[in-house]
Amino acid sequence: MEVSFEKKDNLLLMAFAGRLDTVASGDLMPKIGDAMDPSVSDVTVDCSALDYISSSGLRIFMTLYKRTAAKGGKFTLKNLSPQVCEVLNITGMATLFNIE
Amino acid sequence: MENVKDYGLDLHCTLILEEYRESLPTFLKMKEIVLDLLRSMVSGAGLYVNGIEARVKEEKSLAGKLELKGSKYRMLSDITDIVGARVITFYSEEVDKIASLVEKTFEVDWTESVDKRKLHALDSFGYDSLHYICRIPESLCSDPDYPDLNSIRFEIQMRTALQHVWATINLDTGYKTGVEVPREYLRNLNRLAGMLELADEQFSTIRSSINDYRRKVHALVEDGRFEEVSLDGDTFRSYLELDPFGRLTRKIALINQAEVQKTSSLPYLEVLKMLGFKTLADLEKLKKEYSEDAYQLALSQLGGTDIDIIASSVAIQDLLTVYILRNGGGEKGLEFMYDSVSGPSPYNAVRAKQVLSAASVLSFMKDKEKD
Repeated sequence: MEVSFEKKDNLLLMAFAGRLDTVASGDLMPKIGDAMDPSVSDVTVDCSALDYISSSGLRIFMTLYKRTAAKGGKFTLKNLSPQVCEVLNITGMATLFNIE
Repeated sequence: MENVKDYGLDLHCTLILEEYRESLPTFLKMKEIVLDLLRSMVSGAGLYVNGIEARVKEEKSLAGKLELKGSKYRMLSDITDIVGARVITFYSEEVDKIASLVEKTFEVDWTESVDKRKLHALDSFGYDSLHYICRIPESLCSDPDYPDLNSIRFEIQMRTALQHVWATINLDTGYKTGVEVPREYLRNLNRLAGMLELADEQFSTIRSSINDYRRKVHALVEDGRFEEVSLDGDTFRSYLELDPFGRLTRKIALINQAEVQKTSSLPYLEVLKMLGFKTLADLEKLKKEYSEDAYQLALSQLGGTDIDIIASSVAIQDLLTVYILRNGGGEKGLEFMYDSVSGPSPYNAVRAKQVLSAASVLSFMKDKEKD
């Protein structure tokens, strides 16, 4: 699982690649915590290279969604694979996030 | 003293103006304290007002006042509006609420305070505002660097936004300058004051009626008299407080022993209305007739996975999915629901296709095909 971060003013852009499973999520959370400095209100995740998402990955999305919502910001997912799209849909989470 | 003489005031007024200059740091300090106290007073009471402001009278303005009626004042402390604050409310009844809070927060000098709302004769209209002359109580704030902080009086004006507009425009006509305004203009201004008084009253009446409606609806929902309650934003919110989809959500969560993230079902209101749901009884019918199929749909989707987290709104999503499919809405109907709830996105067509594919093997779809 690879992740990259880019910050543009109050927007944090992330790109996930590979499998966002329990192990990857455990490694990822501290990195996201570091990147989410107080100036960040909007988060966009590029999922074009994300092949698989588990419940742990969904928890990361929920955390990001709640953090941005608390700041009046927006959480956006881009370039979803059919698998990720389906998982978001069957859990009822697709209606929460901004999907582009 | 050079600048003081520039105003052309007599000695008495010149001394008052000099006293003003010496006390200016205290006035500025008072302004900040009063503003802070008013803000925390209003927010502490959970009130939402149009504005809270404060100012220290400018030297030029004071000189103008002294020039007009300087003999009326023995000393600077007789002028009670050097520091002035204003609380502007949306509704007329809130003026009294603010007044009550001010009485509890500050020391009010009742001999100088005026309720201008009560000064009008039955057949006259004009400036409507409540003016309290106050002091900052030592119990709230004292500062040895400003020994007069608690003895100097200041003014708090309380009025509605419409009264404020009228007063500001009236001020713009120059009544304070002592220039006589032609009678016809004054008459028109006063007619406008009457109209605004009526508008204030109407706003309060409308708000009161809406609150009565909400209370009534809330009571009906609590009593379970759903057939008497039309579906709208207020009623749907009250209905959701009863957690009507909680049972189905918990049943879906049990499929994988999932954690339920609490999320709002309110975004589904527009879909419900567009699908023709008119009363809360229609929602109860939806639950009764479609819950089992909605559960079967969730079971087919989640059962073969190890996903152990769901949003609580998945229940209404699945109920409406089944409703749309059983009533012939098909893929387009699902896409319409996603567009309405999540906003338009190319992924909504993908979602609709996936759900239709998952549902096509379920009994309710097969039964539909037989029909």
